[in-house]
Amino acid sequence: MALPFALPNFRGAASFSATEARVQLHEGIAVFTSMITQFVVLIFVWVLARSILPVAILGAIIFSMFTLGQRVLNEAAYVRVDHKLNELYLASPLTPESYFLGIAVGVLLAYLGPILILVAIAVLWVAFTPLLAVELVATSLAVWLFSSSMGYVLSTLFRDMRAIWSYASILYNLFGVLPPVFYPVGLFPTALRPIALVMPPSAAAGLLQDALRPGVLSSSDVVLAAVALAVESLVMFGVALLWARRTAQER
Amino acid sequence: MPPEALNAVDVRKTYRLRRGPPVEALSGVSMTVRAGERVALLGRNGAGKTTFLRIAATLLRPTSGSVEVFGHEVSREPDAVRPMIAVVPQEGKPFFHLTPREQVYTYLRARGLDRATAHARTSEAIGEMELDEVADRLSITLSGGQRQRTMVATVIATGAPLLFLDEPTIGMDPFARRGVWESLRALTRRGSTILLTTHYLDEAEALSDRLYIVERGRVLIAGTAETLKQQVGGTLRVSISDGATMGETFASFGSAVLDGTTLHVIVDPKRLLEILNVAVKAQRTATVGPVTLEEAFLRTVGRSIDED
Amino acid sequence: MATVSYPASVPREGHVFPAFALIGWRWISRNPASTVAPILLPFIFLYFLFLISPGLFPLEVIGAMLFTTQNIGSWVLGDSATWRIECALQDLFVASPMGKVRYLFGIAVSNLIAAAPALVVLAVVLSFAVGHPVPWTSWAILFGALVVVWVLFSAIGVAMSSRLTSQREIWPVGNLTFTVLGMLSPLYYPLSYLPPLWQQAALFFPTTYAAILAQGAFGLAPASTGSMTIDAVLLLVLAVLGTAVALSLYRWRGA
Repeated sequence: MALPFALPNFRGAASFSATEARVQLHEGIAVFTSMITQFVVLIFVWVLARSILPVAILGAIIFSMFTLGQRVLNEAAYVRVDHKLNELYLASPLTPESYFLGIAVGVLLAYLGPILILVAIAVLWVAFTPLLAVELVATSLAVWLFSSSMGYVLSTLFRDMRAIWSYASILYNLFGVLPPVFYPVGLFPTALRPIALVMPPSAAAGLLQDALRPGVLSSSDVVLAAVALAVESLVMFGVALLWARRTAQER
Repeated sequence: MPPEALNAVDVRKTYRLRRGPPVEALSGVSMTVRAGERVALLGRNGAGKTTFLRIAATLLRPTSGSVEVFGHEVSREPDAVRPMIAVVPQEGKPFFHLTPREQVYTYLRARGLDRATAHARTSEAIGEMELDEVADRLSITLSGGQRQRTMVATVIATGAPLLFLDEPTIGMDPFARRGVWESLRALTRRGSTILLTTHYLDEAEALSDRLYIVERGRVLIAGTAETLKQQVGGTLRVSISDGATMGETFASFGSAVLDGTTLHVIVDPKRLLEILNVAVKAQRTATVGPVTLEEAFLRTVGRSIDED
Repeated sequence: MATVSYPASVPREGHVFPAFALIGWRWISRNPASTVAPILLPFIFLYFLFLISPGLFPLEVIGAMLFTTQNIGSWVLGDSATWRIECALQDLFVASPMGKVRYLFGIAVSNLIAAAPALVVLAVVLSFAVGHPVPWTSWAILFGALVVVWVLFSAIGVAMSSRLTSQREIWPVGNLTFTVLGMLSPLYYPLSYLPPLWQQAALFFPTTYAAILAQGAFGLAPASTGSMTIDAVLLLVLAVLGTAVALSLYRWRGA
């Protein structure tokens, strides 16, 4: 039976990812400064509320994975708006979905170093269990997938880099700092907790907090967070693939 | 105001890069632009035209040498020079969030013009650059040519005594380019002086009173378009089809270049009939036309490259 | 040196406010997110700080005002670099009677317009959060501290922008500089909360004195007239020094 849509073709994604990672690594200062907000928040927590530092460190890792989407947004928009280099790549055997995935994976590879520093800090400050370690990897990847996909889709909507900075900083701080990512989910208003648990970064952070101290979330909250995170990540990824194909030819 | 708008003596510029050896962009450029003149700088990419223009427009410091604008040295007295100049930079773009009208008006106000004068000059410049239809659209929505016209409008509205234009018609269609030429001619009729760089040789020929050809940071030749054409040994070009087989014979009449199977020979008008006789006797087809500036430029610069 | 003889039609000096106020106003009127971000971001962090340390809320609001003002420097860096690198617009202003100090103020003013709504909202929040009557002199002290911080960090932003060579450097350099500078000073909490060594280091930063002054003026930290006078003098001296250094490093004309 023929499908009503073409399956994704990731031809060229691996080599384009490597290219993108090399491009990103040329901007050493950008890679180095990608953790600034996280460290600022950790300093706030260390000065003002040291008891929640383990939660904040785990939240910093999730936030770091989340802000990779902002890097994807900036990169894809910059290449398109300022250099029009996307046209070179799209008028080639590289498929549009490979172009998107290449940027997303390339950014992940380039920024892995600072994230691993945070992981090392987490190993020192957080009492890791096997469950927590597995959940950390799984939720991090899910958040990255969601955020990178969202970032790529948003990048196609802008014509001016200055506008991007404004919108991107609202979006990523709204999702990443306001909900309980850096602080315990118990401090978030109870009535609004379901909303927080369906937002990918705070869903991930909530799951990690529960793995760190079982019972922080009820069973239904755990299921809600896990399902929301998985579904939203996969759906957003699918949207990004379709959107990449659609925008490969500007209308 | 002094009779010379610009006087440059032995201007040199070496760029020190973050990586790699230093690059000598200018190795001793001297030139003069008289008040009310339109002078063009021609040259290949990387010849040093933009570097020289930026030094003269107080945008860049020279490594050595001096440039005086209306009697003031640009390195030592930039603040004395700046009220009297305006520049269209290469690949400049207007503020994306402003309309062309706002762009021009804002810049004139920034330059110190009062509101009424700024409004009047804005309307005039918008009209001259034929931007009326898009004057109130955001610059980000304009085509490349329209944005470039906005940049030119911004600068011609200033009425500055000396204008520096770095490839002012890049990205414009032929009609728009001619419109800009006419505006620039009108400006010099009103007393402004213009120094421009361009890759369009028809523009240089149509617009400039004099031109300088710059190659590898030095002036190769200076003069009018006509004197430049005469430098290549003649003012007529005879194109002989299938002339390669008699190359030596035809080359004795003047400088010859083979283009495919057609031989182009630059000849003095006095020898025209002679070369045509030879071509006819050899049963070759020959066409005659004036030497273009492009040919003169290619031969002059090409000769310089060969000598180096 | 020849004496200057200008044609009557050539202005000798540029105007800052008419031009850059329009540039700044048009940016926020056509890009509403550019006002939302400055308002929203301080509140996002304020909310976070309120959750983890509710007792310091009024102090944290003052910190948010100072940080928002300081962060104008980051926007100045971004604008200045974009206009120079991407649009070559700075060339138009260099080759004009504007001058580099006026240009700096122009960009600073255009970005202050974007930040003003956030500062007003934060001031309103502060007036409620303080919980006791505050004399006009306290507001004047806060206003003065904000003006000094605005000038200093705008100068830093434009000086740094003049050294950038690529658009891609804007965000990381701005982020690194202004966030780190913001963190080194105790904007959101009393100086005494920091480790001793850090306290000593913080005393070298003008924003530390701005924070201490404002906290003292609003009765949120112990302060005497004498100590506040010293803090004000130190703020001014460091700010003037910092601005002077920034202006000397500010590359108006290419090297």
